[in-house]
Amino acid sequence: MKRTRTIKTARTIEEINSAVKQGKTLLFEPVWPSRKITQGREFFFDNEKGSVVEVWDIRARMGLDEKKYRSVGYVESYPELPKLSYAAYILPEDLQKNEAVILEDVIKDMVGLTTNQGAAYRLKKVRAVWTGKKFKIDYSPEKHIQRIIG
Amino acid sequence: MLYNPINQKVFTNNGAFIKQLYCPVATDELALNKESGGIHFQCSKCNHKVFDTSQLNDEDLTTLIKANANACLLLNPDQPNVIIIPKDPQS
Repeated sequence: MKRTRTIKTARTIEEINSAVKQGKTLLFEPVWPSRKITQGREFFFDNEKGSVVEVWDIRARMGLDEKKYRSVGYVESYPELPKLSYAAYILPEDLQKNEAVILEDVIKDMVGLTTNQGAAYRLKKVRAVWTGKKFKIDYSPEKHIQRIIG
Repeated sequence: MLYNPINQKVFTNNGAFIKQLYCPVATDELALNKESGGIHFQCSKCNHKVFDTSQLNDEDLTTLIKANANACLLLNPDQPNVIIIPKDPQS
């Protein structure tokens, strides 16, 4: 049985340069951070170290020593913004129309994992089909949203 | 255990690295079949065993990965034995 090929993503200028030097074809896409991807962060001032620490998990917040840590703020925001506002899939030379592939690092922001604390993280890896012009992503939230495997 | 959702790395509560979760076949939960009474699932996409981390403590997990670094893990950030962290413990 033919193994499903994995398509890599260039996320940095160095990776883009390297792919072009190797003669690879790139498919650029914009990176638009989705408002659905979110993480609650509470900031605590560490009285002993004199610095602010960031806590993402309410279970960790509950365990903090109130004499040592003082809450100084809370915000819900994108977990980690990408460095570039674009990225590119590195296409194999012999990629066939209607070929099923695995996108190792999907560029379009989609919710891949949620928590009962209200956080939502982007989908990292997904199956897709090459139409000849773009990747048609095989994605349904109920397939990916509960637990992570690896 | 500690889980960094940005890079999908798992650590013990003491900050020791256990594994970076990575599935080469991009499997999903629908492909997992629970083996009766066991602590693992069988993945129908690759036939590997996938161990349920909700039933393992840090010591069990460390022993498991030391014996087989490629052992597959299933993790739910909501499970009681997990704390979500914004950065790797060493960084």
